Amino acid sequence: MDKSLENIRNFSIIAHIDHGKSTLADRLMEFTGTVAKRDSKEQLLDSMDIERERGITIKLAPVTMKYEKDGKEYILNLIDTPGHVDFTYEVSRSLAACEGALLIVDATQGVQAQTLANFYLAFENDLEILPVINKMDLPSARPDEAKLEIENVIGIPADDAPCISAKTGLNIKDVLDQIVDKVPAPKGDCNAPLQALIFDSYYDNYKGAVCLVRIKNGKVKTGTKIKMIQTGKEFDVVEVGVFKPKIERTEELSAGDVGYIAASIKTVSDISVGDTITETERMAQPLPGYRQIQPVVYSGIFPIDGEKYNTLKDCIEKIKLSDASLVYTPETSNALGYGFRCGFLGLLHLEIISERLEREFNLDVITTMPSVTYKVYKNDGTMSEISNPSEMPDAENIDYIEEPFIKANIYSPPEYVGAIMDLCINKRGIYKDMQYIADSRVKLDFDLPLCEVVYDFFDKLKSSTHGYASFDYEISDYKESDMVKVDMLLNSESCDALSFIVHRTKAYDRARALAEKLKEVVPRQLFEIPIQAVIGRKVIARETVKALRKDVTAKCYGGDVTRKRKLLEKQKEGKKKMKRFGSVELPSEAFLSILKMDND
Amino acid sequence: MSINKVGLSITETSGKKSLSIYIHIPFCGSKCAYCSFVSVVGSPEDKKRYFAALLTEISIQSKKYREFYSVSSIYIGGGTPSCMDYYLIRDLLSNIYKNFAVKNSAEITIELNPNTVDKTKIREYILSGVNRFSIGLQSTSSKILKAMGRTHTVEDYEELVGIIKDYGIKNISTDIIIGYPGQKLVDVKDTIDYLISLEIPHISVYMLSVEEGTRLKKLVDNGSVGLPDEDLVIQMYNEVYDRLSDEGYTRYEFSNFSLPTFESFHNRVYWNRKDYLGMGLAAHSYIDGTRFANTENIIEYARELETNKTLPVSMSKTLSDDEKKEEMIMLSLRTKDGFDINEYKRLFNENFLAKKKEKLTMLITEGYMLLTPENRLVCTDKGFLVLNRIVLDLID
Repeated sequence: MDKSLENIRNFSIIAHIDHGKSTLADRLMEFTGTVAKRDSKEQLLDSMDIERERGITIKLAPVTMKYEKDGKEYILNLIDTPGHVDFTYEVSRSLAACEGALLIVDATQGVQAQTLANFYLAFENDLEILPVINKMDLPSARPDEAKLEIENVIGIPADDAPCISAKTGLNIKDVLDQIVDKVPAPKGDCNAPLQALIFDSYYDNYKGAVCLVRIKNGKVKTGTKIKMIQTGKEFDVVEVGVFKPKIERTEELSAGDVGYIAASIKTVSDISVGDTITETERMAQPLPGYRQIQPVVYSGIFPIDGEKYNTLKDCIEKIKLSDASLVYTPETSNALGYGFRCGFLGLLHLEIISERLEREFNLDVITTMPSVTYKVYKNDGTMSEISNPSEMPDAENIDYIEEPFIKANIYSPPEYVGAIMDLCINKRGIYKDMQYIADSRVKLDFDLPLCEVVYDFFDKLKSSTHGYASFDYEISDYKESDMVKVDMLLNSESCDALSFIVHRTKAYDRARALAEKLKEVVPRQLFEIPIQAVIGRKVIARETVKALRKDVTAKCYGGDVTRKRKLLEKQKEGKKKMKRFGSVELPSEAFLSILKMDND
Repeated sequence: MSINKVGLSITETSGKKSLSIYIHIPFCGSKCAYCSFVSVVGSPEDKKRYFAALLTEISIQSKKYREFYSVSSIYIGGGTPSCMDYYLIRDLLSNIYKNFAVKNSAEITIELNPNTVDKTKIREYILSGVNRFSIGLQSTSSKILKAMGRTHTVEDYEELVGIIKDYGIKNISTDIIIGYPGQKLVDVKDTIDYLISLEIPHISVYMLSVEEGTRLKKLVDNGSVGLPDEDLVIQMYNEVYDRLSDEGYTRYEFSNFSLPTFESFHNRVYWNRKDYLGMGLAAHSYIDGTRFANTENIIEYARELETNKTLPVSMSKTLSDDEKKEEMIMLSLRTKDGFDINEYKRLFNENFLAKKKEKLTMLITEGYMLLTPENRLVCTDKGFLVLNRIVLDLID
């Protein structure tokens, strides 16, 4: 293969959600002839159904395109990135494999929270950043204001930014030309020892676990003996190739290239994303990795049908093959039986995993209330990290508890500042700063407890600003807080799946709301069922489900006993689906509706 | 006035097992809003054809059973048997007498709707051997009767009761419905007081259940009528129970109340899981541990019998021991005598008390059931109202 580094450009596209990143990627592929227009379906790089349906990108997808400018042929490697705040770490991974980034800004919306957050990530990675103004086809487009905002808020020149419409294809050529002209060619030495940065991995039924790599130095081809520097594992390369966007086998990958390496690796967990691949014969130094982000939200996942535990286990293992960010350990609940405690990058990630379980594997699951990780300092001087309410030590053994805080940036038109202030203060937020970044937009900085954000912050923010505010955050630090564990008792029996950790000032309201909801959904039984919310032994909310008064069939059946039998069989079936604890039986739907309450 | 019964054949009935016979007459003058029974309006031709098929069925079945069984009760239900020409009923009964050994003491019931009969018909029924009449009144409120789609009035009912009593027959049963949309507590009180004043010795009280495929179901689904709330239905039932108890009626089954000696023999066969043979469209039978039922398709019913001379059975199931246990629990607990623990032990060689100790303890301490000195489990007033749940707790 005849190529020089001079002709390679590696870049990402970064943007606030819905600013048109995936659509632009589609247009670039079409314009360069990588895909024919007739093959084109929307969001080519988003391969999961969920991605296409929700219009979001979750997994990274690289693609190699050829583009000719001034008589020279260039290889453009695009690495798509997710836009949602949950997946920030995926963004930082793909950025580490690039030299440049297109920063898309919606001409009707201007700079938004994730525009800035993603810009900083790119900036930290020393990338050349090319602003692009999108959605010029919309009548409300105001490109000059958007450019001004980029200059004021982000502080990079935006005069030359191409004004495009990814939807209609307007000025796509300008974007490609700028990539060639402005994004630096990769530096590297094809003859040096191999250094390949793993920026993602996926599982293929035939090839096994596959590494997505950016070759920094050296080259790799079939038969190369490789070594993962961090894990120390060694493999023989079976196949290398690039994405166009379907995988295409090539002879070799060399410095500057973006592609894949398959080496009969059994599972994705054998691949540590961020690790450097080198040769066993000629060891190179590891490349600087990037921060590995830990899960921030934990939740239990249980099969609705208790007998499907093994199916759930298989499914989670399969998802884990392609989603290394998912962590899980087995968990047992008195109410829900056997399941898994899973760690997620955020609520959207949680939602996506449970949706994938239901959709791809046809498995009905219950997810318990999401929890963050608390640092619990005990009287004996030890500290435990607790992300499951059932593991919380008794109050008398606890010295103090720390909870995780985030730094939140909220962007909004000025008329909603009051509403946002109210919301953040109500969520125990600490006001930090407010800046007018343009006449029509304000940036608010708050420190917020993460647990309040995972509770219902997104939805509240959206509804109190009519969807105009945008939000981004990063985990900052732990702060001491007066947290308590609230248990829900049904007929004096604790229902562990409903326990939650909450700030003391919020405990009463949440407990009352939950008790009321339980009263609604717990079916009446032959005895009265007291519902109590307790902190330790102290009851903070109470409701009662009255005993069932009437369930009798007083109908004239004549001798038709089979009709009565059918009714009985139906009731027996219903009973089977009940989750039982103590003397109380709850239908799974009841659980679901309670656990969904958090998102109301 | 007294009548000599005719047509009863004198047959040797001793030393045989007892059998009850149910005959289904699927024809009605019109369909009531709440009715989900197999019934049709039907032309005179349809009716003739149906009766011919029915007689064929009787003769086929008699070959199987007459040798081993003698008949203790006959129940002609529907539909509205009384909307048929009287001679059809006469021929039907005389056919049964010819084909089966019917005891002299047999209880023979026919269902009537008030405006479908006259003096002649009643006389003919009695001459044919009928000794018990079950009348569908449902309510004394003209408003409710209209809403139900009933075509008779309270006066029609009263006239009919008068005719029957004139022939010296006291054994009259009347069906009423409680919990109908729009029905008030006072309507139910009025109805019960009325029946008491007429000295009706047997009253069946059914709680409305809205069934698929009925006009009422549509009305409820589209919101044009609302069902009374549960507490009101309980109040209605308790009102009925209190009034009738005061007057000396016994609740011998959850829905059936009677003065002493007026319990329905035929009804009790169902609850006690005794043998009964149902003939006619969609009729159900239980004989020797097997439940079977005829087709619900009237064309198929007639064709099978007319053309093929075969039984139009569409379902047949021999009960397993587990199913027999379930049915014993489900059916016996509906009765005042309740569930006989000794009988259960005898039949299934299991100690029910030990097996269900935990549930029974809860049910008894919560006041849903009693254990009598005769070793029977019976529902309390409160228990009867949640019978389905109790049954569910006691099976499996």
